[in-house]
Amino acid sequence: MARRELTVLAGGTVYDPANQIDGRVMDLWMELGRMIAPPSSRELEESTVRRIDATGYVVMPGGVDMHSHIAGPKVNLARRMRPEDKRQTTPVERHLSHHRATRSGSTGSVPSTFATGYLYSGLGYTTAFDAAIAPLAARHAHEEFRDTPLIDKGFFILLGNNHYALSQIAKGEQERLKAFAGWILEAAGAYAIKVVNPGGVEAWKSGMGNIHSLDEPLPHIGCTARQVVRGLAQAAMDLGLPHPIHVHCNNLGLPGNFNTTLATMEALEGRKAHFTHIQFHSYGGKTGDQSTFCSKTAELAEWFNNHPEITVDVGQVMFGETTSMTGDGPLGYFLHKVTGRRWTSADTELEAGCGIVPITYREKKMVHALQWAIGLEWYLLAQDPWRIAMSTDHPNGGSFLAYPEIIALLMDKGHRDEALKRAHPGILMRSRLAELTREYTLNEIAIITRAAPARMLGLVNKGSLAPGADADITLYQPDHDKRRMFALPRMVIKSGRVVVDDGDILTDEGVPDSTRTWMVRPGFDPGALPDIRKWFESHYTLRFDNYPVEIERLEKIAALSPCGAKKP
Amino acid sequence: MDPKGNQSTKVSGSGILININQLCISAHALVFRMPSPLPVGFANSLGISQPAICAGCGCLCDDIVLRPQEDNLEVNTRGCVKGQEWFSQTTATGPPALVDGKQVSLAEAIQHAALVLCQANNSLIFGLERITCEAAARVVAMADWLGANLDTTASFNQGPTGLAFQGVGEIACSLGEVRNRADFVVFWGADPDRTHPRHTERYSIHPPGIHVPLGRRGRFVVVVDPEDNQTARQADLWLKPKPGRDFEILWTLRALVQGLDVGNFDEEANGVGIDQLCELAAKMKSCRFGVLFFGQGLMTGTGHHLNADAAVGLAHDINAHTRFYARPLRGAGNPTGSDSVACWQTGYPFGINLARGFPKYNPGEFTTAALLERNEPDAALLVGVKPSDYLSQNHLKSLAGIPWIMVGNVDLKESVSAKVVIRTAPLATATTGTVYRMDDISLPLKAVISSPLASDEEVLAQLEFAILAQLRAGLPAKSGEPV
Repeated sequence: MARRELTVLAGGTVYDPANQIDGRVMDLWMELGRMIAPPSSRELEESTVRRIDATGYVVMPGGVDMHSHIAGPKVNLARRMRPEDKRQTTPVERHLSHHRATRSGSTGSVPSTFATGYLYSGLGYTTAFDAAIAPLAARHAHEEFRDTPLIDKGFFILLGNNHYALSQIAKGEQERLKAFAGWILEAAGAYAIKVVNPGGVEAWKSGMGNIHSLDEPLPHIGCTARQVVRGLAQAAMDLGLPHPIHVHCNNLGLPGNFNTTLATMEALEGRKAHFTHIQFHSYGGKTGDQSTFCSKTAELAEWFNNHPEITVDVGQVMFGETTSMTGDGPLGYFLHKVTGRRWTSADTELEAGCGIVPITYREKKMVHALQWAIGLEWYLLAQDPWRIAMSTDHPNGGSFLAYPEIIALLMDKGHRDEALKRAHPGILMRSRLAELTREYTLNEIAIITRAAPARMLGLVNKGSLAPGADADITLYQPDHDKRRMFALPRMVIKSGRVVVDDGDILTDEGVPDSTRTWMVRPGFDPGALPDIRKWFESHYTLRFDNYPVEIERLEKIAALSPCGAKKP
Repeated sequence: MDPKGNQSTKVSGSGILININQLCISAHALVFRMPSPLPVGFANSLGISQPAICAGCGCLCDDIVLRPQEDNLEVNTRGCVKGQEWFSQTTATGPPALVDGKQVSLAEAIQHAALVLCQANNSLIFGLERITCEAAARVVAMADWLGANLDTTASFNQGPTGLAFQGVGEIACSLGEVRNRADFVVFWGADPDRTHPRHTERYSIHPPGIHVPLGRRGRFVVVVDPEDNQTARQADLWLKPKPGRDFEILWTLRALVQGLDVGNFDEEANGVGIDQLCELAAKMKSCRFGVLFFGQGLMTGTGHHLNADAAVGLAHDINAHTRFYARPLRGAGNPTGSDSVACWQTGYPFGINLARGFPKYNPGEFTTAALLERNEPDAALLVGVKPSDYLSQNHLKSLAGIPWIMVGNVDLKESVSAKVVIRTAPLATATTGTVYRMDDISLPLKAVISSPLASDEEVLAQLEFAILAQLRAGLPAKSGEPV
C-alpha cells in the first residue's frame, strides 16, 4: 500500500476564529490539500510526514477578499487606459530557474493578472472574488482567472440593470425572475448576484440621467429600485445561494446618501443581503453643498448592529493614487466631471454599464479625509466582526496592498491618532473617529480578513482550519509593527503546498495550477427557458447558444459551492 | 481526442469522418442540437452551437451556415463577400513544417525555432492577429520567458486609437447597445459596406431595436468621408471634407457642441461649411443615443492619434447633453482578443519589451515598424499574420536579414525568407478557442472540420515548452534551491 503523505505545521500560535481558537499553540495537519484531524500513531506509521516548524509564528487561515476588481473587461480597460500608473510602481519580475518559473507583470493600481495572483498570495490571501462582471463578459473573466495564479477566485454577476430581470420584476413575475437568475448564474459560471445602482444604470444608458430614490420608477420599464432589490434578494434566497444579493446602493458617493442606504436596508424587510463598500454610502449633507458633507456612520451602524440579516464590507479609502472602476455608469461620469480626469465608459447590451476614472485621494482634502475616517468608523462601530469584512473595494478606495496599513490603524489607537493629525482637520467636527478608542485584537483581525468573509460568502471550506477545510494557511512573524507583520507573511500555503516562502513565490509553469474558480449551480425551472431564449434572440447580437460559457471550460476549473434551501 | 488532436470529434464522440482532399469533415457538426431543457451538466448543456462564427472582419457574425458537400464545404455567409474570402482559406495543402525550405517533422521545426529564439538577444514577436486567445496567451508567455519585444498588429491599425485611449479614455459600448438604442450613427473615414459588410445590417443602420423599432427609418445616418462609397450613398447626411482635415473638423465640432465661438472657420480649406457643422453638432446633442464609428480613414496623416483623441473627446463633450459613443472599426481575425490577452498578462496591448525581466511599454521604440526600421531585432517570430498585410518592402528586407520563424496558416509565398515555417490549421474552420468581436465581446469558436495541421495553440504550447527547456538547459547547474 502506498504511504500517505502528510504535512504537519507544528507549534504555531493559531488564530482560527471559525473554530473558536484564539491564539492557541497547536499542530495543524494536512493531506492532499485539505486539513485533517491529527493522525493516530498507527496512521503515522503508514505515512511519510513533512514537518514545517511554525514555532513562534502566528498562524491563520489564508485571507479571503470578498469584494475586489481583478478580472474582466473593465479591469482590462483600466489597464489599457493607464500606462503611466504602472511606471510609478515596482513591477513584478520574471523568474526562471530549474525549480521555479514565474511570470513578470506590471503593478500600479490595476496589476496585470499574474502580478495580481502573486501579490495577493504574497500578502497571505488565498481567495479573492471579483464583484462586478456583466454576464456577457463572463467568458472574458474566466480567461483572466486562468492567468491569475495561486488564489482561488470567483465572481458576482450584474443583474440589477438587466433588462430581462427588470421586466420580470415590473410584471411581478417572481418565479420567472428566480428561474432566470438560476439559469444565468449557471450560464456564466458565476457565484452570486450583484446589484449596482438598481435601475440607475439603465436610466443613464437610456439618457434619463440616474435614479435617486427607491420609489422612482424607470419610465420605460416601470419597476423601482425598491422592487429590484427586493425581487433579487428573494430570488437569491429561494435559489438557496450561498451568498445573498450583493448590493451597491443608489447614490454612491453623494452627500446625504445615507438615507438611501438606510431605506434600501429597510426595503429588504428582513431578507438577507450584503451591502458592499458601505463607506461610500454613509454620507450626510446636502447634494451639491460640500460644506455640509459629514459622516452618518453612527446612524447606519446602529441599524446594522440590530439587524443580523445584513452584512457589509467597508470599501476603505486610503490616500494616494488609484483607479476608480465601477459598474455604475453614471457614477463614472460624475467622477470624470468632479476630477476633470480622463474617463472610460463601457456599456454592455441589455445588461450593464461601466465607468473608469483615475483618482488621487489626498489626506489634506476634506472630502477624501472624511471618506477615510468614515471607513475606519465602520470597522470600529460595527459590534459584530462576523458581519463586516475588510475591503478597499480594490482598486476603488485603494489597492488591496493597503490591507496591512488598515490592520495597523485598527489595532493601534496611537497609530490612528498620528494619521488623524496629518489628515484635514475638518473631519474632527464631521466624524466621531477621534473619540473611538476601540483596538482590534489579532483574533478580530482574523475574523474580518478571512473567517467572516468566508462565512458571508458561504464558503464552508475557507476561512477555517478545521478538518475538511482547504489547507490554505498563512504564517506571520509577530511584530509590534502590524503593518510590517501583515505585509510580509513568513509563509503562505495554498491547498497544502507552500507557495510563498519569505516573500519568494514558489511556483512553476510546468506544475498544474491547483487553484479553482468558485461557482454555483442552483438549478432552475426549465419551463422558463423558451421565454428567455425568445427574448434573447430578439435583442442580443449573438446567438443564444454562444452565450453560456462552454461547459468544457468550466469543468476544468470549477469548484461548486452547494446551494441549500432548494425548493422542488 | 482523435490522433490528429481534433477537438470537434471529442465533443460529439461519434462524428463520422469523411475524407475530402486533405480535409476531414465531421458530419456531426451539421446536426442541429437543441439545448437540453433539463438542468443537467453545466450551463444546462447549452454548449454546442450549429452555425459557425466568421472572423472575416471584426463583426464576428455567428450565424454563418456551413454545409459540407461531397468534395467541398458549402458556406452560406448570408451574402457577405468578406465572409466568403474568410472561409475560402480552408485548404491546407503543402508541408506542415519547413526548416531552410526543406520539409521536416513538426517536432524538429519546433526545436529549431526554439533554438533560434533562445540564441537571440533581442528578438521580435509580432502578429497574433489570426489566432485564438488561448494561442495568444502562449505567445505572450514565450515573449516573457525570452525577454523579447512583443507587438500586435494593433501597432499598425489601432495604435493611434490606443494612444488616444491613454490620453482621454474611451466611450465604448457593445454593438447590441447600438442596435437597441442608437438613433444617430456616424461613420467617419469608414466604409463598412466594403470593410464590414454586415455591420449595417446586424448592428448599426438597419436592424430594429428596443428603442429603435423602426430600424433604418428610426436612425439618422451620417458619413464623413472625402471618398464616394456605398455607405455614404445610404446616408442621410454625407460630408465630404478635404483629405487630412479630420482633426480640424472634429475639434470645431467639439467647440460647437460646447457652445463656443469658433471664429473664422476656413470652409474652403476644410471642404465643409460651418453651417453644415452647426447642424451636425445640433443633431449630435439632440439625439437620444449617438455613436461615431471611425475607420482607417481617420488614421492617416501625421499626428493621427490626435484624430482618435478628438473623436473620443467629442463623444465626451456630447455626454453633457445625451449619450454618445465613439468606437473604432476593427478588422479580421482576433486582433481585439490578442490585444486583450497582451494587456491582461503584461498591462499593455502592444509595443511591449520584456528584456529587463518585466514589461515595458513604448510605442515607437518597441513597435514592429520602428524595430525593423532600425534593424534592431536579431531574430523574429511572426505568428498568425500575413507579413505583406503590414510590413513594407524595407521591413521585409530587414526581416530577411535575420533568422525568422513563421507560425500560422499562411501562404508559403509569404515566408520564403523564413528560417523555420510551421503551418497551422486554419482559424476559420478547424480551430477551437476564444475570439473577440471588435466591441470586446468574446465568442467561442469551434472547429467544424479537422485539419491535418496542428492548431496554433498546440504548436505554440509545444514551442513554449521547448523554449523553457532550452533556457533552463542554459542555466547554471541545479543548485539546492527549494522546491
